Amino acid sequence: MTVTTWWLAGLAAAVVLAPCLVIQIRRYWGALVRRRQAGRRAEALLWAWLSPAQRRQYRARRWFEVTTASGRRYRVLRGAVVRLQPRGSGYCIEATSPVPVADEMLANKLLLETNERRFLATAHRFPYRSLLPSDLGLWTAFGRPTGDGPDDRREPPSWDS
Amino acid sequence: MTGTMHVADDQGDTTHTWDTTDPRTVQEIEELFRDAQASGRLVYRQTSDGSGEQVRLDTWNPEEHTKLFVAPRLAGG
Repeated sequence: MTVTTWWLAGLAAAVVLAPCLVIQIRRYWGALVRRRQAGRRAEALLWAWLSPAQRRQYRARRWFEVTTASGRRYRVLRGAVVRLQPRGSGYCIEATSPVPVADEMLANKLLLETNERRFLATAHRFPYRSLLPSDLGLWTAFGRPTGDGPDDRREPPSWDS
Repeated sequence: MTGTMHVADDQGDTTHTWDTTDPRTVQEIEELFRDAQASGRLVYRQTSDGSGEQVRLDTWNPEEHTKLFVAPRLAGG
């Protein structure tokens, strides 16, 4: 075949395939937009249910802490929950239906606050060691003492706001 | 008195509202309650201090518990 024939074949293929490609891109883009909107809605809902202290933490760090009725402190992260007092345990718990991560965080917060026993019975526990500077006691030069307990003597300065 | 129930789903949440002067809207919320409980989902009401409290259909008071959240069912990951 000549070069012209190859060019014509390529052009014909492009004319046929381009609409399919555009449809796929539109579909993908639409799904992405819907997912972002869902995430924003879930974030707004989570925000509305957080206490003022939890809002400060979430704004600064994207996680927040929950103190249960038993006095234990947990940190609700995006995708996991960590116990701070006594420390050393992480918990993997997730929604069985597809929901944005903020919805999952809100569900974890509420379950911890209302029924810690059920949370512990549901979640999978794993050994956890935090590498966050605040958890390793590396904020001593910058943070302020909270005096809450031996595991969290210092907080990042951003929490003061 | 009006209230709002947020049902967590893949859209973030779906909002349902009720008005105690309109029994039909309250019945719709009760139906959602039943569905949620039947599928093992927990329903919470928002308390004034920013925490939540679990509420069931038989303890729900549409006049007082005006902000509800139907949490997704959770399982160990």
